[in-house]
Amino acid sequence: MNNSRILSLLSLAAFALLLAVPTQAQNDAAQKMDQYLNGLRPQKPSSDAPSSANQSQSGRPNGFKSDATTACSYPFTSGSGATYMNYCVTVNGTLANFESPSGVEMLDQLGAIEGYGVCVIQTGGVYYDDNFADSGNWLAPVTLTQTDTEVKIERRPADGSFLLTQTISKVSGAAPAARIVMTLKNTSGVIRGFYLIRSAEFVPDQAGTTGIYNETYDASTDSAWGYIPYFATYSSTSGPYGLVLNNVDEPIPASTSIVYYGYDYNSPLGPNPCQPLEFDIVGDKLTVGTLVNGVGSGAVLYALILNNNQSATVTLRYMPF
Amino acid sequence: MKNTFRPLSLLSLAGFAFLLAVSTPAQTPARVTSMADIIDHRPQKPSSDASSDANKTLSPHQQTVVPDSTEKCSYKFTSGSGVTYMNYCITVNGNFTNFESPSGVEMLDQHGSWEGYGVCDYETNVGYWDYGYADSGNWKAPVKVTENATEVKIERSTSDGMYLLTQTISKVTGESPEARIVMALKNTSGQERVAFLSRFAGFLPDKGASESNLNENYDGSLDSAWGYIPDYATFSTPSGPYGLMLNSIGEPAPASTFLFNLGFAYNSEYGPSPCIQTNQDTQGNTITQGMVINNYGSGAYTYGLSLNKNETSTVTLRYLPF
Repeated sequence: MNNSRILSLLSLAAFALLLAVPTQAQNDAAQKMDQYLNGLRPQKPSSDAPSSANQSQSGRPNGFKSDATTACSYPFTSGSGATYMNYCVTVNGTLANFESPSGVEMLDQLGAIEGYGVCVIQTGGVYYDDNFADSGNWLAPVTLTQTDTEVKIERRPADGSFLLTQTISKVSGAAPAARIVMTLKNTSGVIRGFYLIRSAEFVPDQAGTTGIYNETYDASTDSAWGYIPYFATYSSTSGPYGLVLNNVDEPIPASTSIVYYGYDYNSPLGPNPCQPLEFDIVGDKLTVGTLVNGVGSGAVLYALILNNNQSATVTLRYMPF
Repeated sequence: MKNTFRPLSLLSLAGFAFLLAVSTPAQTPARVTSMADIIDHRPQKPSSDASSDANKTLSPHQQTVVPDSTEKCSYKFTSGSGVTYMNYCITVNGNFTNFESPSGVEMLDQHGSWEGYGVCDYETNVGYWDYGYADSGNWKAPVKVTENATEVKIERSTSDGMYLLTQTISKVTGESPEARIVMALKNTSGQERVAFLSRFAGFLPDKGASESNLNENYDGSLDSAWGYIPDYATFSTPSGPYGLMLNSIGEPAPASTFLFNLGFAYNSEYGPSPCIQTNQDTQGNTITQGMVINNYGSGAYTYGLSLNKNETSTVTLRYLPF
């Protein structure tokens, strides 16, 4: 058993203790924690979250007002040529595109599927927005600040159980990146466990033109990524470029962090925040792990435990590679 | 040619072929249709004092021509703690003897680190390399130009006086630590040259040595080469799901020196032979480029450079954990 797994198990043990429910030794702490928590509290929709019965084939839950959009609201640009970066943030704090280097678009191929998800573990409340669709239970976002280098957007769900504040900043220069700081505040009135997830459907740069969305996906503890390999074993219309979603540092404060990890899976849509390794937002079953020449996505998941009114801050970045 | 980068490559190649035609009018430029054709254009012949084929069945450490190569730590750099911890060390020759980040996760040194650089002179087909485990035997002794708490600058000339390679390796500290490598290659041959400048890394999993399992995954893109253990791997490994990436930053400067670049992975632990690097390692073994899953492998990054007499081209790379 490797160190990360042992650490994960220790974290899992602490989490289980907190919930006053015993756990079992598992080889894969992250996955087992997910299974355990879902087993403990079979997922039920929150009062205004979508249920599977409401899911349409299009992926957009029926019966709820959706604010999801791929419309660009806050564009950011820097550099030129190999160091060029251009991305745009929607009013909801999702990314509408990511182009770097110049001419290589890695998210927006007839629309970007990128965004965030939150699960309130005790209630099974599901909250997400991945541009393609949202969970229908968010209040309107509030733009707090906007400058040439960053935008700060606040959003809370209709049930008031938490507040999500995102600050998205451009890191310009020789190695450009889009830096995302996500702060989750527990406003439910009681201690809660949360999953906080950032996900993206990485797509090859010519997908929108050729209709070929296949590429290669994988993940590590700190990252999830999609790319077209150099010397690929398959034919692609796109160039050998990649985009990685990389966790930076650890959640702050450290006491709020149970476990975090990256993973990839075989769906273009965001994961169901309360069953993030098992289903996407339309209920399709997921397979996680290395995906070669397929259609997939990547995500970084944080399991957090927050006292009432406590916040946890996580930081990620999108980087071309 | 379906890939969009291929037309760009062909444009580069057209310019490249033109350059060759101008600079060496007595020669017929090699027929090329891709970057790989350029790199693999002909079998490498050893330089006068480089390792010969007779040695290729020996382990790198047993080769007779390894006069200056070393895996010994000389310039140590450390920063951060925990997940932002980074620790690496540079040899007198400008190789990495290790790269540890985050704390406790060593990605190069598993009973030794195989990492380094290579140069190929396109016209003479002579390769110059130092990968830590061995070198080509045709380098002069390195000269340390400067050293401080954040960087070391090392200069090295080839023994035939064709090239001067100056490396500045700096630590980038903070929440996203990395080691930045600036390599400046100067053409000191007295005439116009085309050269391939490469960086090689034998990425290894963090428990490779202690658990005697050096297998992991490898791949490359236009800007990078990397090795890693996947999260939710389809294979059993004692190592954690961490990776190390060799990533090119920007383009060679000045832009007029830049012909092409590429990152690639392949199925050998040894460094690539600089003049046929997508085809053969320094042991003479044929290599297969492309994704490697749960096996031995390495990654390399290569620039094709066109250098006027006394001209210098500067490239920048970085090692970052991911």
